[in-house]
Amino acid sequence: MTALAPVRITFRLHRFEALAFIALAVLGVGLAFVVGARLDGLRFDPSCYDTTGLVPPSRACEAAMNQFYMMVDGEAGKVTLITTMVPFLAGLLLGVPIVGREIERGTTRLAWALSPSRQSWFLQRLVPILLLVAGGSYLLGVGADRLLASSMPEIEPANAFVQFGFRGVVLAARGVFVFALAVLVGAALGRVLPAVILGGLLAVLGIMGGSQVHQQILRAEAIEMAEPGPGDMWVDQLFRLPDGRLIGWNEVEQYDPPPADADFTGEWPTLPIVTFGVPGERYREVELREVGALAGGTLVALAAAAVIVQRRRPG
Amino acid sequence: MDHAIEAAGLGKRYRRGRWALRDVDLTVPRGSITALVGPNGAGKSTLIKAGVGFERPTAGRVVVDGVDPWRDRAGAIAKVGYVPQSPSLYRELTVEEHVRLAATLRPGFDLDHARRRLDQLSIPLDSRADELSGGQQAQVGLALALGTRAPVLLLDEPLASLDPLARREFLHVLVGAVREDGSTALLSSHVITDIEQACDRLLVLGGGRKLLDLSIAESIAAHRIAETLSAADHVVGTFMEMDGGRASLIRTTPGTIPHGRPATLEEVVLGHLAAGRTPHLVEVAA
Repeated sequence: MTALAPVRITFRLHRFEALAFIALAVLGVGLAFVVGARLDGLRFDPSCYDTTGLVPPSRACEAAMNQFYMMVDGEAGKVTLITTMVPFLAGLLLGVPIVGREIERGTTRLAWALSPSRQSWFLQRLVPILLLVAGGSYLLGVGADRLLASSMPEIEPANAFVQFGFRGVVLAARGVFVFALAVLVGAALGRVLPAVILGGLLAVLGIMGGSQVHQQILRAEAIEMAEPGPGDMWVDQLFRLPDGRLIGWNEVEQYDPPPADADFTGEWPTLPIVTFGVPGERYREVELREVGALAGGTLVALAAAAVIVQRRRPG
Repeated sequence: MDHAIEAAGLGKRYRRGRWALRDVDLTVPRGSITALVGPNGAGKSTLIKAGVGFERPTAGRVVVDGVDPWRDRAGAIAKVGYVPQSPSLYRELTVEEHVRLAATLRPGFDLDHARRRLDQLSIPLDSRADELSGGQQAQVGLALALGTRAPVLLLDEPLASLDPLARREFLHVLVGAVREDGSTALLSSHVITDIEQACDRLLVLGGGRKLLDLSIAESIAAHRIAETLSAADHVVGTFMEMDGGRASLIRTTPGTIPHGRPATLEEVVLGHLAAGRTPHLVEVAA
């Protein structure tokens, strides 16, 4: 008996889901790099068109732009769908059976009667699949980063909030969080199909709720920016009153009445506009914080699943 | 320690208020094979699951080889080899992988012992669990339990889905292993005919209560068919003398059984179950 025997048996038990995930992850990462390389080949000189729109681009420039953006919207969009959805689905479909399917099929009666420690049984089942989900999701995140770098050459993915949460290490952390939640729901319900449905619902709500909280935190941390760049996170636009106070669009008419003349063509509001955002340079720091929060949620869910495994009947 | 399993005032009530076990006192002598008999819902599985630590007693306690399974589940599991009601095998795994799985889960699991037993039964180690017959699956479950080398074996109706030949073979292996290893077995079943040859003791449960706890020999010696009443006595059936002059309806077809003959084990069990269910009949016949 080697130390790898439990790992091998765990993969045998989850062979179908694990192989499907590995295949989709390889496909997603492979396509991300292939489409990224093709986009690099179609890259055009940005100076060929006038950003003000006053001077129409040349035919050659327009053709190059069309070709590039058709691929961004077409192939790159489809690959992004794969890299975004696969970690979520893998977390759900690999997480629920870890405990839920064993309870449903009654194999926990055999396993829990053989193992003096249910926790060691749980870890034997959990860790190999957890590492698979984390590793595969991370690679998909890397693929999504690569695709973004090619789709938006004007940004540096490590310093940009574009597609935040759907690429890089945050994508992997989300996949692992969904996995942990699925393990917990599977252990609690002890039935696969209801657990997949409920787990999916809770995962969506959990990620959306977490994103909302994170957005609120970022709003509070936003700083005044002259003109946010493509990598910065735009948060809000306000108007500054002469006394320095800031007001929103809903109050602007009160302090800066619109011109009565229907033919007025000048600028309104006349109050100076202040833009708030989070600089793209903070991406790594914000990413780390999001990953930390998701890792915390993952640990809580797995600890709760371990408690359920310890206490519940084997089905 | 004389007893491998002891229960005192053991009770288990489920959420809807139904008592699966109530005030059960019992002892299973070390080295014995005890048949745990009773109809569906008698509390057999609950008693065995309490012994493995799968059920928490509502009242009283059960002790397996000196360990309370609910307070020290790991300690109790280390002393128990358990065969679940249905074989509970992993259908994706081969027999050999089950043996390896058991070795990864159970410290000290005797791989060779389990493999040897399976080999003796000509069960192919490279077959997937879902390719085996019901009898073979039950034998794999038993081999895994025996591979633990546990001093106590708890078997939860392993015979239920087996044909007579497979039942006999299963019991043959069980008896041989228990005699060889010097372990103790508690075997729940509602197939009474098979257990007479295999078991030393009989424990009858009915409605969650213990109705009889004797050696097989004593069980048979202590019961005789006593009397046949006629329709004129309002009750038609054959009655049986039991301890303390009690009696119970055991058969509803009137009188072809000669008075005073020894009861069969099946009649003993049926008599006690009938007495447990219909105590007024006991009073009529006593």
